[in-house]
Parts: sequence; C-alpha cells; structure tokens
Amino acid sequence: MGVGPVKILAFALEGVLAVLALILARADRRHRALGGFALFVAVTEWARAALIAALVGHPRPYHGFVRVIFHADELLYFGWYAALVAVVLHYFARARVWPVFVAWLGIWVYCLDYPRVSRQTLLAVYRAATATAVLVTLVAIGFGLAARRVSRPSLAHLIVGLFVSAEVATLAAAVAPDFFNHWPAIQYAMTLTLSCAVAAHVWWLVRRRRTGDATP
Amino acid sequence: MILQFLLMHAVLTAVVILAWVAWMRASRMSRTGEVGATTLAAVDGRTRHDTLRATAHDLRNILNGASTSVAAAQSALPADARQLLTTARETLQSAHAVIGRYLAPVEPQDRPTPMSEILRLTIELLDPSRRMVSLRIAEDFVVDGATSAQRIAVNLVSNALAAVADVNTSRPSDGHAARRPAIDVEITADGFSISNSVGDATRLGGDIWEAGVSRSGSTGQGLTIVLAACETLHWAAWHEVHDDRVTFFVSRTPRLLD
Repeated sequence: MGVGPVKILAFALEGVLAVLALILARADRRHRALGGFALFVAVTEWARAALIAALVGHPRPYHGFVRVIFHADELLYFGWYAALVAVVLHYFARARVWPVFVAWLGIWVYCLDYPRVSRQTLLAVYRAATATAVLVTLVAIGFGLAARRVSRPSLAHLIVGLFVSAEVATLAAAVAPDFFNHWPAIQYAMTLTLSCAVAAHVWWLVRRRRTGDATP
Repeated sequence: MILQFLLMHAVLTAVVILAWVAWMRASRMSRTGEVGATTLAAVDGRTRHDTLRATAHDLRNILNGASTSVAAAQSALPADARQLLTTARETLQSAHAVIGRYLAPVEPQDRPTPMSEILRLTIELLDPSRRMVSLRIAEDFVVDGATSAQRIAVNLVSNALAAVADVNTSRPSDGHAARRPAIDVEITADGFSISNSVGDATRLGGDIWEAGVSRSGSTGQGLTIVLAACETLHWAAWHEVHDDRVTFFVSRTPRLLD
C-alpha cells in the first residue's frame, strides 16, 4: 500500500493539528487531553506508516524482528481506538479512562498468539475492536449528554465528535465485503475530518486571542 | 459506492458541526442568563440606580393620580366621591404592584463558573461600551462560589469606574488618553487584579477596607463586602498604590502577612 498525495496531506494535517492542539492545551488546561490525543494521533499514524513500510516484502508468517514490527503496528492500531474512546469518556462522560488502556493491552496480548491470530482471525479482531470502540463512544456521548455530565461544551467536544463521526462512516465501510477497495475513500474522509479539525482550532485560537476568552 | 461513502461522511461531519454550534449557543445563552441574573442580583451601583429611577418615575405618576382623585373626592357629591375614592384605591394598588415588581427577588445561581465569564459579564453590564475596561486573561480558572466571586468583581469594577470618572472630571485628559481603556483587569492562575488611575493616591490607605470609610460618597460598604466575600471563598484581597495608580488584587490563596 503506497503513500499517495492524499495520505501525505493527511500526515501534514495531523502534524498541524497536533501543534495547534498543543498550543491550545498550553493556554487552556481544559484542552490538555485533546492536545495529548492530537499528538498521539500524529505520532501513531506516522509510526504506523513507517512500520507498514518496513513490513513490505517480508514473507508471512513473520519471524524475529519483522514479527516485532508487526506486533508494534497492531499495538498502535488498537491504541488509536483506545485513545479515541478515552477522550470521549473524558470529555463527554467524565469517566475514568484507565479501563480503556487495560482493554487495549488485553486485546494486543491476545494478538501476540501469532500466527494463530492472523489473516481472517486478525481481521475479525480488528473489526470487532473497531465496532466495540465506536459503540462505546456513541453510548458514552449519549450517556454524557442525557445525564448532563458536560457543564459547558468546548472545542474538544467538536473535535472528538468529528473523529467519532469519521469512525462511524469508516465502520459502515468496513462491514462491506470489498472493504479494502474503499481505502482511498477512507483516506479522503479522514483528510476532510482533519481539515475541519485544523480549521476549528485556528478559528478557536484566533477568537481566543481577539476576545481574550475562548467562549464563542 | 465510494461516492456514497464520501457523501455519508460529509453529511455526518456537517451534522456534528451544526449540532455542536447549536449546543454552544444554547449553553452560552443559558449561562449568560444565569450569570447575568446573578450579577444583577449582586449589583449595588449604577444598574440598580437606573432601575430605581425608572420605578420612582412610575410611582410619582401613580401617586399623583391617587392624590388628585382624593382631592376631588373631598369636594364632590357623595356618589361621585365614592367613585373617586374607588379610583384612588385602584391607583394605589397599581403602586403596590410596581413596588412588588421591583422587590421581586432574583435568585442567584451558584454553580461552577469560569472567572473570565464572571468578569466579562460584569464588565459588559457596568461598562457596556467597553471603552473604560480592558480584560486580559493570562490563565483562567473556575470558581465554585460564583455568587461571592461576582460580588467581589462587581464591587471592585464599580469602584474602579467611579474612581476613573472622578479622575476624568477633575483632570481633563487629551483625546489619546480617552481612547485607551483606563481600567486594566487581568486574570491569572492565582486570581485577578483590577488596576486604575486615581486622583489622590494619599487617600488610599489601609483603612479603605474598613466599613463606613468612603472616598466617593457611597455607602462605604463595598470593600468590606469584598473582604467578606473573599473570606467565604477562602481568598485574599489587598491593594497596592504606585504613583497615581492603584491595583486591587484578589488571590485564590490566602496572603501571608509580611
């Protein structure tokens, strides 16, 4: 799977988003979790691109150092969903997030049973993890709004909502039989989400600088 | 299929953005209403004074009408006098209703509120044109006892506005100075400060915090109330004078005596 111009644009947007989110997190402590999430997203995606590139050309099943790279990629893949669920729980449900990271490590440890967990089995695990993560985020958002856990909406809620909506769309595509044929579309979708997130950050920071307050 | 997916994603993104915008607006309107009502409840100065003037105007007209009816009844025939006295009674009931409306309590909301919101709304209320007061936020913080914090903010900003008005009256300034906000409000992680120029710095001794000491002809209770509100929140307040400028500090940590 080559790295096309859309993916390069997505990498750049992830970097810009991480920088903007960290600037905002420094100025406003309410957005620290969002800053950490954006940084994690950027680092994870860049690292995964490097790991996947390192795997290309090696015969399956993987052995030795190549297998270590393969498992590292799995860890980062599940980590992205764990981070998304964690920020949703933090911002919408005001719940503790450590169980998410325990689940993340648990799934990854299960995947270490290689090569038994590979190919179709691994794909099923990926889909199950994605579906569970999306379901948990939607339930957490619904619960948080219904129980009035959020005293005041902020930029973080918009950004997290955008990423969740992107994952809902991706999940819908993932259940289709020709999932990998949709890969370019998923990249376009993620680029759109990242563009919206970057634009929202710029707007928020400009407004904050102009009015001295982040409240629109 | 790809187009369908992209369309679905675009629609979802738009829905999320619109829902968030609506949520932000609803939240802001709700909070503005609550904090505004609480701030109004805390205001002792100009806004309350304006309300009182309007109410006094209404009452004077109503009481004039009642007085005229009673005077006419004294020299009227018994049947007409009864009618005139009924009119006077109804007029006085209107006066009672006006007073009742003025005395209707405004319930303050004491929920966690960012200090920036309290100060911003206080400034909007007391200085609607925003010509006199500038607000700078180095680091915001959330206040649990919003009513007490609003009381502090309202009293200190009111004092600063009165002091600046006094300076402007006694010392005409040039056009350049008039365009620059004369009162600087700054929020930091530790608390906030309000700084303004004063006409006579020698009048700002330590006794200004004592009840009944007034430099402006007011009740002389403003800073005492500020101290009491600070005590409620376990905060500290003090002031420092440098040349012709005074700065009132409100700290979230009790100040160590030096």
